[in-house]
Amino acid sequence: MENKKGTIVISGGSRGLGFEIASQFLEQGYAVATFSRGSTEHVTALADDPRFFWKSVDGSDYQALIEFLKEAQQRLGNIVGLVNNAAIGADGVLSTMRTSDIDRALDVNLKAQIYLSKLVSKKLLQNRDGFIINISSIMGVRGLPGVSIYSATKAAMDGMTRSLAKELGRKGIRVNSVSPGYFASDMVKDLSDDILVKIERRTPLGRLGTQSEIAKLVLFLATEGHFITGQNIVIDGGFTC
Amino acid sequence: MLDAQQIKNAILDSIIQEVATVLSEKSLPITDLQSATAFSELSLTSLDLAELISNLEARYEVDPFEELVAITSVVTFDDLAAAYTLSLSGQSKQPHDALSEELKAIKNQTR
Repeated sequence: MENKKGTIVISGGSRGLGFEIASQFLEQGYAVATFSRGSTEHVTALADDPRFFWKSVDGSDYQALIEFLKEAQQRLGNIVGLVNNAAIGADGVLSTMRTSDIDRALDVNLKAQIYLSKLVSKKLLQNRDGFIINISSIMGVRGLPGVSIYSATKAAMDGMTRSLAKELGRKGIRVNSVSPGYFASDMVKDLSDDILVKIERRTPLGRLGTQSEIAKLVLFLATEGHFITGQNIVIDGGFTC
Repeated sequence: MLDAQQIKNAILDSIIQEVATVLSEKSLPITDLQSATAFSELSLTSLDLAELISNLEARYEVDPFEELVAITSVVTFDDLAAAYTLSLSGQSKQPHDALSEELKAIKNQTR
C-alpha cells in the first residue's frame, strides 16, 4: 500500500524511544517500517495496521537489511526517511570487558547503522529528498566512566552525520544527530535512586527527559527542519551546558 | 532471447538517457554521448554518479558495486554497462528468459 507521506525506516522501533518515534510518525500519517531482534507487545498490537511493518532482523546482517528494505518498500511504498535508533549499552571498565561484548556493541550501534544509511541513502538519492536522523547521546560529546564503547559508537555516528550531511546536501538530503541526555527509559532503569537524584540535581531543568520529548524533536527535524543539516541537537535539560 | 551484447546495449541506452537527463538538469551541454565517453569528460560529480547508480539499481534490481565490481574501475559508459551486464548475467538461474523479461520491462519504462 503506497502511503502519500511516505515510509520512515526506524531501526530498533519495537520498544522504548524507537517505538515512541514510530508512534509519532504514524500519528502524523506516515508509514513506518522497523526491525529489531525480537518482537514486543507493542509491535504485536500494530500487526494489523497497514501502515506499519515490523520484522525480526539482525542489523549487522547486510543481506537481511537489503531484504527488509525491499519488503518494506513493497508493502508500504516509497522510503522518505531513516531514523537510526537501535543501540545497546556496553557498560563496564574497558580493560575488563569481554571482546564479544565490544564486538556486539560495535555491530549494533555502529555497523548496522552505517549499513542502513548506505542502503537508505540510495533510495533518498533516487528521490533527491529525505532525511537521516541518527539517535546519538550526550555520551558522544561528554566523557563518563564505564561507557567508553558506547561513547565511541555515538561519537562515530556524529562524525558520520557531519560528513554525510556534506556529501548528500546537494541532493536535498538532510542528515542530523539527536543526542538525548538522561531520559526515562530502559537505559536508566538499572541506575539507583541516588544516582537518578544526582542526575536531576545536575540538570538545570531539574528532571529527566521523556521519550515523547525526544521523539517530538526527531519529528520536528524530519518534517519542519528543512534548513537544518549536519547538526547534533542535544536534548538533555541543560545537563551538558 | 537476448544475448549479453544486446543486454549491454540496452543498459548503455539507459545510462546515456540518465546522463543526458542529469546534464540537462544542471544546464550543462549534452555532448555526443557514446559508449566510449568517459565520465571524467563530463561535469558530473561523484554524487551525480552515485545518483545515477541508485537509479540504475532501482531499474535493474542489482548492485554490481556491492562486491562484484570496484566503482574505481568504471571510467567510461561502456565500463558501467559491462558492470550491470555482469551482475545481471550472474544472478539468474535462467538468464535468457529472465533477462528478456527484464529488458522488456526496461524498454517499456518511461522516465
